[in-house]
Amino acid sequence: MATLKRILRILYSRAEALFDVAFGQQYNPLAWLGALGWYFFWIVAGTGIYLYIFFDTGLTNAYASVEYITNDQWYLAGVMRSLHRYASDALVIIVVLHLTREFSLDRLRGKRFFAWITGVPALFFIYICGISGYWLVWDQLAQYIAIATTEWLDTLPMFGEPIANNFLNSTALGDRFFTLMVFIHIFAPLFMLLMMWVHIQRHAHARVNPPRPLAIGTAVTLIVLSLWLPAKSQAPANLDVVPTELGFDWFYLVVYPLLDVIPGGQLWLIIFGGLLVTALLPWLPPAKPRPVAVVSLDNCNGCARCFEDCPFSAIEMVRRSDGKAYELEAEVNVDNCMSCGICVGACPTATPYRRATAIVPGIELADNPIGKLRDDTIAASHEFIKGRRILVYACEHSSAEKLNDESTRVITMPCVAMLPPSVVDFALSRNLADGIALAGCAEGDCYYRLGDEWTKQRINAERDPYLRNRVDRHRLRFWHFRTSSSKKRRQALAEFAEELHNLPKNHPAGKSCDG
Amino acid sequence: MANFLRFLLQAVFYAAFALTLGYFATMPPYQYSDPEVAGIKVSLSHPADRVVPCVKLTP
Repeated sequence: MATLKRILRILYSRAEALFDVAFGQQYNPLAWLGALGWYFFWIVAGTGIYLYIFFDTGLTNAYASVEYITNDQWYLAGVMRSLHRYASDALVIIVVLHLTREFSLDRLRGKRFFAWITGVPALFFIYICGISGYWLVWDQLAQYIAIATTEWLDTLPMFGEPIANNFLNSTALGDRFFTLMVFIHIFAPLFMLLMMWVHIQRHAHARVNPPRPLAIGTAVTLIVLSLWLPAKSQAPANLDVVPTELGFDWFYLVVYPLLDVIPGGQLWLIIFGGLLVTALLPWLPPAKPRPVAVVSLDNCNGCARCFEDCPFSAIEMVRRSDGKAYELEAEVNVDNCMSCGICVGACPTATPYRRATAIVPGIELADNPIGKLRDDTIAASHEFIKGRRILVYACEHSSAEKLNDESTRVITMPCVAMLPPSVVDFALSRNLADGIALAGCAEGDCYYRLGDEWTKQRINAERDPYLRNRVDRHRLRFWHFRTSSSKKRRQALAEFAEELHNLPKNHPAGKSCDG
Repeated sequence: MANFLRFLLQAVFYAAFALTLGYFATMPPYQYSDPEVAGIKVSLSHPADRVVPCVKLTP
C-alpha cells in the first residue's frame, strides 16, 4: 500500500508542478478537486432541472421529447443537455482524481477517515445517477443499458421473477420500469447531495466553490465542448432488434462490457469488494495517534478564536465550567482534533513574551508547547555561523528543514499556522534573526486545509491575532512549497538572503534577550 | 510574455480536458453483437412455487 501511495505521489507531484506553471499554486485545479466536484454537481443539477421541463416522463414520448430538446431547441435545451452530460462525465474524472490524490497525500488515515468513508457511498450514487440518466433517453443505448442492468440485477437473489422479462420484446414493455428510472434519476442525486454534505461535516469553512478563474475556465470549456460536440441520442429503442454497435459513455458504462467476460454475480462481488476495500483504506495500516490540543482553563478567556480557526470543527465553545467571569470556554473534541496546532496560533495568550511565569497558553499541543517554540527560537539564534541570519518556521509538509545551513535555521511544526504571530515579532524585536521566513504547504493546498490562508491573513492584519505593525515586513517572507520543490526552496532562500544583505542590520526594538 | 505563455498552457490543459470528455463520452464504440448474428432469447416463467428445485443444465 505504501508503494502504491509513493508511486501515485510521484505522479501527482509532477502533475502539480506542471499545473503550478500554468495556473499558479493558488488556482492549481488539483488543489481544488473537491470544490470542482461540487461545482460540476451543481451544473448537472441546474441543467437537469431545466431539461425536466421539456422531458416527457412517459415511455412512448420520452425519445421524442429528448429529440425536441436536442434539435428543436438546440440553442438552449440542447446545450443544457450537452452540459448535463459533459459535467456528469467531468464529475467522474474529478472524483477519481480527488480520491487518488487524497490517497497519495495520505489524507485518509487517522481522524480523516470520516471524510473518506462517507465519500465512498457517494461514488456509488454517482454511477446510479449516470446510468439511470442514460436509461431515460430511451434510445438503443438505453435499451442496451436496460437489458444489461436488469439481467445483471437478476443475478442477485432479490427478485422472484426475473426483472429482465420486462424488456423481452416490445409487447412486454411497460411504463413501470421507466417511471421507476425517472424517480431514481431524481432521488439518487438528492441522496448523493446528502452524502456530499455529510462528507464535509468535519470540515469547517469547507471549500465547496472553486475560485472564480477555475469556475469560469471550466464552464467555458464545457460550453465550447457542448457547442462543438452536442450530446445526441442514438437510434430509438426497439426491443425487437438487438443493437450491434453502440456509442458508449466509458466514464459511466465501463463495467458493462465486463459482463461479456465475467458472470454478473462475480462482477457484483468485485465491485462491492472493491468499494469495501476502498472504504477500509484508512485502516490499512492505521495511523499512529498524535497528542491532541489541550485547553488550559486558567489561561482561556473564551474568545473563540481557536473555534473560528480550527479547520476540522474540533473545538466547541461551551458554557464556562470553572466559575470565572467569562461566558464560554473552549472544549476540544478529541475525535476530530488533527493535532495541527492551528488553534495554538490563533490563541491570543500564546505569546513568547511572558517571562514571570511559565508560558502556558489557553490551548496548545501537548507534544509541541509554545514554551518549547520560544526556547527553540532562542537556541536557533545562537546557532548561526555567518551571513544574514534567517530563521525559518516551517510546516512539516514543506520539507523546508532541508534549508538548514550556517546562516539558516529551520524550526518545524505540524502546520505553519501553529506559529503565533507574536513569535515573529519576538524574534525580530529581540534581534534573534535578521529575517524570518514562514514556509507553508503550497498556496491553497495546505495539508491541514486552512493553515496557509489563516497565516496570510494574520500577517496582513486581516485576522486575529494580528502580526504587529511594528514588524518590518521587509524582513519577513511567507513561502509556499510543495514537498518536491527543492530548487524553488533554495532559490527563495537565496533571494531573501540577498534582500536582507541590502537592508541595514536588524536592530532590537526592545531589550536583547538571552532567554 | 510569461502571462501569455501561462494562458496558452492553460488553454492547452482545458482543451485536453475537453477532448478527453468529448471522446470518451461516445468513443470508442462498443460492439455489443455481430451484425451477422441474430439474438434469440428464451425466457421461461414459473410463477407458481416449485415442487423441486430446477435442474441447472450445463452452459
